[in-house]
Amino acid sequence: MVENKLNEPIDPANLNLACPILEVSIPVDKLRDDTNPPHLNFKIDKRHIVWLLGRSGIGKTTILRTIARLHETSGVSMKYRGTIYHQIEPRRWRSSILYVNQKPVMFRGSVRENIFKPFRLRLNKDRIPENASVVTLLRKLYLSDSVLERDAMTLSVGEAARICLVRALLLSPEILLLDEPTASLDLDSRKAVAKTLNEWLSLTDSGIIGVTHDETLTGMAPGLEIHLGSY
Amino acid sequence: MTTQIVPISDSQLIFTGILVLITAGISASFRLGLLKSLLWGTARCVLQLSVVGYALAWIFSVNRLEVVIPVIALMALFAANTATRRTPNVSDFPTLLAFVALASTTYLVAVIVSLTIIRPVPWYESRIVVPISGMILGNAVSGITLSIDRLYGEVRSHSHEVEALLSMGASPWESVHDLIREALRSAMTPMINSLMVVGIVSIPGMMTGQILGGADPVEAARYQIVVMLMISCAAAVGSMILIGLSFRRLFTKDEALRPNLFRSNS
Repeated sequence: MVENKLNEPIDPANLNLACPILEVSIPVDKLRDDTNPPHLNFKIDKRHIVWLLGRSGIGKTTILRTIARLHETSGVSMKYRGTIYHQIEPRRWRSSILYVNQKPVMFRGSVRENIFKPFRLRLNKDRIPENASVVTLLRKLYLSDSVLERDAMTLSVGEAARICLVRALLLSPEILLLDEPTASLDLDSRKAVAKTLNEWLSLTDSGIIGVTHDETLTGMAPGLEIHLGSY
Repeated sequence: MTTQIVPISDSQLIFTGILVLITAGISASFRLGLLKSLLWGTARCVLQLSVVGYALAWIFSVNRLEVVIPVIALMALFAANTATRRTPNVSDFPTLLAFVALASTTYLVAVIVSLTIIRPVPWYESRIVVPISGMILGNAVSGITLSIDRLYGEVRSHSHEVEALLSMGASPWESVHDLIREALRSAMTPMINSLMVVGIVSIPGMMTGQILGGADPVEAARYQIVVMLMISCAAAVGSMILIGLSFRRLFTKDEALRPNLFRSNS
C-alpha cells in the first residue's frame, strides 16, 4: 500500500498521497471539562469535513491553533500525508493547513491589497490568483467587486469575515481550519458560505476542520461531528 | 580663539554648595521628602565625575589603541545595562545582544568619524575618540531602547496580524516586517526632529561646553554638526543591528509567536 514518490520535486518530497491528508492526535485533558477522553483522535481526507462542536470556552479554538502549529504542540502527534509534523517546515505546514481566525484579520490598505497580501510572501509569490477568480468568489459570497477598492478598515465584521474566507480559499490550502466562519453573518450569507465551501471541496482535493455553533452550516455542509465535553 | 579656559579651583567648586543648599531648601520647605536622595545624588555626582575626570586624564596620557578599545567596550556594557531599565514592553531584554549592537555601532561610527572627518594623529587619539564614542553610545542607547520597546509593543498589539501572516505561509521575518519598519521609524524620528530644531530651541550641551571651555563658537558649531549627524547615524545603525539580532526571539523554535511575549516587566 505504501507507495513512495521520492522522485517528486515537490517539497517535502516524500509525502505519501495514499495516506490521509491529516491525522491528528491531540491531548485534550487540559481542557476545562474533564469528562473528555485524554486524546482527541481523528483523520481527515480529501473532501472531508470535521466539525468540532461544544459549548464556548471548551478549547475548540486552541485545537485549531494547535493543528496550525500556532500554539504549543507538546504531546501532540500530527501527520501530514504520513509525514510527522516536525519534519515539515512550519511555514509550508501552515500554508497547506490554513487557519482562519474567528475575528477577521484585516491589514492596513484596501481590500484588494488585503486579498493579495499573502501572495507577496516568498512562499506564495508564484501562484498569484487571476482577478477573475477573485471576483467570482466575492460574488458567491454576496460581495460586489467594488468592495475591492474600499479601505479594509471600513468593512463591517461580516464583510471582513467573508473577505478573509476569500483570501483563504485563493491560497488553495489542503486543509482549511475555520473558526466560526459564520459567527457574524446573516442567514443568507451563512447559506452562501456553506454553498461556497461545498463547491470548493468538490473542485479541489481539500478538507475542512471547523469550529461552529451554526446549524445552518453543519446542515448544509455536513461532516463528521465531534462533540467536545459531552462524552 | 585666544580666549583662555577659566579653570575652576577646589575652593570655587565648594561654592556649588550654594546651589545644593537652595535645592535642599525647596525640598525641605515643601516637604518633598527628596533631601536624602538629593544629598546622595550630589555625592554620587561629585564622586563619579571626579573619577571619570581622573580616568580620562590617565587614558589620554597613555593614548594607546589597546586601551581605547576596551574602554569603549566597558562603556558599551554599562550602556547595555541601562537600556534594560528603559524598555517596559520587553520582558526579557537581550542585554548581551544590546551590548553587541552598541559596541559594533560605536566602533563603526567612531572609526568613520575619526578617519574621514576629524582625522587626528594618531587616528585613535583618545582625547577625540573616547568622548565621541560616549556621545555615540548615549544616543545609540536611546535609539535601540525606543526601537526594541516599540517592536515588542507593536507585535503585542498586532499579534493577530502577525499570526495571520504566519498562517498564510510567512517566514518570521516577513510576518513582522511592517512592524520592524515602525520600530525603526520610532528610533530615528526623534533624531531627525532634533536635526531640525538644533540651535533654535536650545544650544546642545557639547557646544555649550566647548564655548565655556574657550572655543570659538563658529568652530564649536562645526563640531556640533559632526556630532548631530554622527548620533543620528548611530541611532539608525544601532537599532537596525539590535532588531536584526533579536527579532527571532519573538518566535518559538516552531516559528510561532512566543506565548510569554504578552507579559510586561514592571
